[in-house]
Amino acid sequence: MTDWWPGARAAIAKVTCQGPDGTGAAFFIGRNHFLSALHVVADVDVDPPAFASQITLDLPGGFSSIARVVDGYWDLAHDWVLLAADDAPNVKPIEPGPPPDSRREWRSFGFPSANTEGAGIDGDVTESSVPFRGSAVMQLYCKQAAAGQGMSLHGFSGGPCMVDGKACGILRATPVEQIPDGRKELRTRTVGGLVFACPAQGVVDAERSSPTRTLTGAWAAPPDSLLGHDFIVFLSDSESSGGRLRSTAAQADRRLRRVISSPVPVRASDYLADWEKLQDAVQALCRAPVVVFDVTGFEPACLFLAGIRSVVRRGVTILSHGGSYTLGGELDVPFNIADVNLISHSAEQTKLGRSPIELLSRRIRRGLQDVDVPHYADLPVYDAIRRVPNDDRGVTPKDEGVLVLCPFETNYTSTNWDEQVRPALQNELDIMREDREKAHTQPATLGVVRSFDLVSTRLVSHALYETIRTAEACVIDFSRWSGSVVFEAGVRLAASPKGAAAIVERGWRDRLPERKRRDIPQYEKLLALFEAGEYQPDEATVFSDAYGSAVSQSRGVASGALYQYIEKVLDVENEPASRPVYRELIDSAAQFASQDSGGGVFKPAGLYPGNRDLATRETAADFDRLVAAWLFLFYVVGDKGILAEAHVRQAAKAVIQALLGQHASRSKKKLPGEAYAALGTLQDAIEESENPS
Amino acid sequence: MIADDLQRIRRDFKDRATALRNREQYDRAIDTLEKALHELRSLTPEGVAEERALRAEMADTYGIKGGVYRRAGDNAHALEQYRFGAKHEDEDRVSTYNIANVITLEITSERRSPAHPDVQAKLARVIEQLEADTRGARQDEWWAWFDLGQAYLLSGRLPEAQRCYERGVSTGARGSDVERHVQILEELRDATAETSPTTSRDIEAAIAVLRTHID
Repeated sequence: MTDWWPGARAAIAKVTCQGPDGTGAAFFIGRNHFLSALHVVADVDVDPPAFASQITLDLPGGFSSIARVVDGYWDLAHDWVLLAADDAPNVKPIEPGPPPDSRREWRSFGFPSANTEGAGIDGDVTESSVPFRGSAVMQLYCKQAAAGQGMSLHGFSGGPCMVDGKACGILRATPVEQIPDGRKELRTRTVGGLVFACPAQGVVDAERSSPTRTLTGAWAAPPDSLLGHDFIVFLSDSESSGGRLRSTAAQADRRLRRVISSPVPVRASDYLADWEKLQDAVQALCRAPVVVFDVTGFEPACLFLAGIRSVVRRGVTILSHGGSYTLGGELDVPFNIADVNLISHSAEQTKLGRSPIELLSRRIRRGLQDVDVPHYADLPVYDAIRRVPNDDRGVTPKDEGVLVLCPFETNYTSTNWDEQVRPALQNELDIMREDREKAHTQPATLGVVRSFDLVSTRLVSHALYETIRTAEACVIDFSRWSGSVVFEAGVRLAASPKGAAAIVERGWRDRLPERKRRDIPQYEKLLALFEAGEYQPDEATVFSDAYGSAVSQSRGVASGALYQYIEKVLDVENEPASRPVYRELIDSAAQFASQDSGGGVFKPAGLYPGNRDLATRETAADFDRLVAAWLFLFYVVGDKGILAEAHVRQAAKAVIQALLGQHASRSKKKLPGEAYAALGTLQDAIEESENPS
Repeated sequence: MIADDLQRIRRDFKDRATALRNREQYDRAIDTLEKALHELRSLTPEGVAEERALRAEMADTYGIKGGVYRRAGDNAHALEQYRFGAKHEDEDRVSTYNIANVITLEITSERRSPAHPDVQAKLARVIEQLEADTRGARQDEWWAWFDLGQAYLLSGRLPEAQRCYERGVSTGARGSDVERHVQILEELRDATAETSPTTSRDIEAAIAVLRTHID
């Protein structure tokens, strides 16, 4: 339960002040920063507080440093202060935790007069929030302070209130009384074992509202906007305060500095708060080259945003699972992302040799290398939803049917789908078709269908994403909160101008299994965003609201507004249509080229290298595509166009070097004289432009 | 991390040098490869894996440089470059490209007999490594099979050599690849006619089979 304690204790420093004199505790939170209670380092009875003339921090491991108060980073009402040491200790920073529930166990460490080398205290959380001297504090029960006549807690102020390895608060005050001891001398005693702590979240909030950014790691405030950041980490609620993925990404950053900017970790559920926040996330999903989703527990916020990402950008997208998952371990993965190559950032993974830091940094580096390869995919959807056959791209009107995104579990199917949802929606469809001036005589082409009901010879996933794009009417039933449905909801909103109508069974909270109950706040946010309607047996209104002939089916962000927003902020440069044809040809050629690893190491191109005829055709396929690329560059782009832009120059150089390299004799035989001669001329011109003499 | 640098050096120098060689601009090709070697020497590898990667690139660059000299007809300089490359190869045993060329040129250019103890030692090293490689990561490379076949031929092991050539052909060697290898074998056959007639006859036997695979 407390494996974390030795590490935490190593990060708790003794504070010694002079002018005014005082002692207490402080704890390391990253870089050279320590948090403590303001009254430990300042006389708070004067206004403004009078800070100690000298502050010294001593950690148990031998670290000792002078420290100063960071300008503007103290709070008189909440009694906390940020100290900057002259030196940075080599210990793991303590991270902030959320306000703990009552009866949770807590621990701390301080430097009381009874043992100035340090002593531990522990107890239970009595109240997570009570008013105290004009602010809200946590009320704690301390066993040591309650024992006997009540131990004095002088020397513990400024120490962290540690719950589950995180600092949920900063110890600040105890109610005391003075009673004479055996020698008739007055001794200070803690009353009733009571301790008050300032919530650590207050420090995080202060950083958030500060005009400057000072704190790092888990204490850092999220950015005001995600736009412009190239590497975004969407954290789950269960991990955002703990921060295993956050710290993994921060460590990976050291290995990735030359290929991508620093990661920006944010809590995914914050971006479901309102339309404005969602827009910020969506714009980032459209533009960030690298996005990592923490899919620990497959929380809905991350899955919903991952669904949007899968449509809007062929970037590097990585799903990472924490908890106790290790690579290759069993995991109940939502259907739509079952093929995704998950990584793990769990503590267990660290013990297995391939650390999460290595996994994440290698995956990102590899992804950034591969992302330009045609049809690169680390998520499903992107190509499937774009490469719809020409004849099937038209909208399927709502009077031809409705696509229902819903779970497939047996219990849902028997109680909700068979008994309520399908009959009600079918009734709406029948009415719609009968109400027309000229009634339909043919059956509806789509009908009331779920993904597995779609009539298609294509892969289920391809048929599903095609229909998600083309069906005018779509109803999302969030009942039972299937991860697949939440992912598909993101896909639908990103891919269809018609949006979707969301419904959910009444009393959905009561039907949630225990493991999903912690996600209720996220579910509620999604339902609010979608303005979902609740249904129950014998209640048809919500179905006619969702899919009736008389109403506009979509509301909230699901009205099509998200699609329209994406249309505006999409990274057009990253869309397939923006790829120059010579780039497509070069990439296509590479699929047929032997891999030359140097040193005489060549890998065969095709699947059946022993088939001589096929091997010959593969060589020709590589050559023909390179020739086509070269002819386009030479005749259409022209030498001035080639030399003008670095990326065109690089492409031309690759083509020229391949045609004059492994294909030298073929090029000489088959290229028109003018185009062949230009290979050498342009090679020299490019070299000259890159290395002007 | 030097991976990006290695990729850049390959693209900016080595591929360019190969194209220049094929344009018969040998001096420029050599100049480009010397620049590549200069860049490679300036890198600071971190850890064993990067040190190995850097040595492999050095070996490869010397190998290309040797190939340029060879194409230009300067076998003495070619042999010198292959020997530099072979030293880098020898440390990690990741490739036999340079050592195989050293053996070929010592026989064809310096007229050494395949039975010479130095040549035999090199052949033994090549055979040991390629036998291991073709059981493992290089089992899908015709080049590795052909190199092993050639080493067997020069060691008087014709049946093993024939099996290697069969594997090489079934692993994707195209007619043009077979043709280039036959040209090298012809040089070896002619060079060994006096120094090792038996070897020369074995080579001729292998050539006869290989010619059936030239389109």
